[in-house]
Amino acid sequence: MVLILLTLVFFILRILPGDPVRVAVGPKLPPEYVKKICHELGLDKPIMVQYFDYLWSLLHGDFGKSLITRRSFANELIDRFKASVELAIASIIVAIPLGLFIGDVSAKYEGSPLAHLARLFTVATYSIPVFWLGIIFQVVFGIWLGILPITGGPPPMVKYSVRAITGFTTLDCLLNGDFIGFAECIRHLILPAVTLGVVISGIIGKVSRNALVEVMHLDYVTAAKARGLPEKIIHDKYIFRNALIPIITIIGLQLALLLGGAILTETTFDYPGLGTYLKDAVLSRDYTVVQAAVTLYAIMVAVISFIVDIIYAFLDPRIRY
Amino acid sequence: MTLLEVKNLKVEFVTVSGSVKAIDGVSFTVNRGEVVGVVGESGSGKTTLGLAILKILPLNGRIVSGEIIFDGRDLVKLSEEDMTKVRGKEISMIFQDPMTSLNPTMRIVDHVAEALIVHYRLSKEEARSKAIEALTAVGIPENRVLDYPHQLSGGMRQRVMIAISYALKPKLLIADEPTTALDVIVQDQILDLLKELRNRQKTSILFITHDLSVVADIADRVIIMYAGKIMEIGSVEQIYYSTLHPYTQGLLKSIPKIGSNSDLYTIPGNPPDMLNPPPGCRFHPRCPFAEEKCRKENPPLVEVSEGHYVACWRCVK
Ligand SMILES: Nc1ncnc2c1ncn2[C@@H]1O[C@H](COP(=O)(O)OP(=O)(O)O)[C@@H](O)[C@H]1O
Ligand SMILES: [Mg+2]
Repeated sequence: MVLILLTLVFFILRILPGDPVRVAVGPKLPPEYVKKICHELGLDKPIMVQYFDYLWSLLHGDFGKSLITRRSFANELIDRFKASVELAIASIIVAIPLGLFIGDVSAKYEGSPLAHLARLFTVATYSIPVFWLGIIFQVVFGIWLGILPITGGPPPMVKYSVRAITGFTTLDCLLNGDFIGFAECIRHLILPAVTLGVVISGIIGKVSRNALVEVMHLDYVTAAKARGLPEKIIHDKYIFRNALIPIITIIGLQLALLLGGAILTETTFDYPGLGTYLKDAVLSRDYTVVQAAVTLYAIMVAVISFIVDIIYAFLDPRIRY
Repeated sequence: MTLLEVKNLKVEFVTVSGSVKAIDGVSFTVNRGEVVGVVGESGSGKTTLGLAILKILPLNGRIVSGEIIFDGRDLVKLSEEDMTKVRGKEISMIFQDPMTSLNPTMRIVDHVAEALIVHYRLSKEEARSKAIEALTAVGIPENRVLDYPHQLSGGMRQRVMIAISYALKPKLLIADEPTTALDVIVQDQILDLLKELRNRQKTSILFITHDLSVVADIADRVIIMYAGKIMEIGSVEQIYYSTLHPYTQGLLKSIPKIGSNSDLYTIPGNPPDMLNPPPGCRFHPRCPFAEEKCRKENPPLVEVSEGHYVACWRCVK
């Protein structure tokens, strides 16, 4: 799977118009010089050789050099990735309770005005572009109310002053007992995290509503009612527990997407995550950076789906590996 | 001694294409310790009757009118809170498809124990040991009680459902086609188990089935239902040997007989479309004796001899 993805990315990037060296050095450089750089970066070799070189070095954990800066970018990539992880976790913390609440309300009160309201919310999160929502939040909370910063991500002041332990700035502040820095980080996280969280809660809400409604009508729920079990037990142990599998699946998927960097949201809030990094790299045709980011992304998806599978086996006694 | 008396019960489902009168003025009684069979083709409203007695109809269904007097109280008027105390503990129900009646993420012993904790406020340990007792009493080996439902066969799962009833000791058990989904040998075992339950705990049973031959084996009295109405009520002897209603006659003729190799008889025609049931007697379009009156007026259920009721114009003089 991962290999197929890497191969696709490798070739698609090379088919796209635009030459990274030209982007990097500008149009006015003498051709000999361009040739020299190309040679240095291995871009003059036949494409198949480049491809196998790429796979070979990847196997050794070597992402190669950026075509633009001609420096190793592994540290920058990991840094960006960690920032995206912070955002992903913050967003999912917003999205899960909100999404489950929406799903529960629209399943439990099917047909009532409350449920319609919940469905409306879901539809809205589907149809509103995430950057638009982000901008609205920026305008309302950042400019009119002036209570939150409109840019996201740990402020550089904090980032470079705190002693790095994990590399996750927010966590490092906490570990170092720097509560002011921590508060600053959280303040900068709120708007992008809420923006993303709201959008994702719509998807989680829809999936959990469908799952809950489906289980609600199954025979064992009727049988549980016939046994006189209280509503809370029926809801928790019979309905919710059995609806969890599709819900966990969608949460895992969304989390994987988030870890790959939420490009639109990160761009809106100028958030220094993997998403903005990938965007910049694509725009400048920086092949190696794009490839590395995608590799990281593919590994994340694989890891998360592995974790989700483990959770399945834990949730459903019928599933054994 | 009457345990359950249903009086003129009407149940209706609201659907996009109109309302379905799934139960249309049904009255009958069940005595203490008695097994009453409810027989009718599929779609005649048998399951709906069971769900209505427990007041667990689907969201689009409701009791329109009537009374359900159980042990001196009208369940129709009972609050939802009081109903949860009746459900399981006083009236329990087992269902047609044992494959889907148990929670797939719960061990079978916990199904029984949980009900005991809820209704009898037992401690966890007490409930577990009582649950294991009940499960072994219905023939589940002790080393299987920690299994999940998917590890058991259909017959075993139906035993678990019966064990829940056995443990809760209800006064009435509604058994909705408990053997239909099982193969013949297992069917007999489940029937024996239900008879044992009746004998040991004096539980009354409302035994729902589409198969008149099963009923002879277990029931004391039989109710014949068709399209939401009762066609005939009588003891097993009356229903089998002094059959009055043409529909009951049709059902009897469709029982396969050992040694007979003639083709199986089926009642001609189909059960009515419940959205637009026929006027008059609901059975008249399929009845070989239908007359003008049958097409216009619905026959009342009248007692023609001691305990034998029938709704047919031919029996009203
Ligand atoms: N939830 C429902 N919504 C609409 N119609 C229903 C519903 N449940 C049952 N019915 C209708 O009510 C009638 C009786 O159904 P049911 O009680 O299941 O019959 P039986 O158990 O005798 O096969 C049928 O015509 C069926 O289509
Ligand atoms: Mg049925």
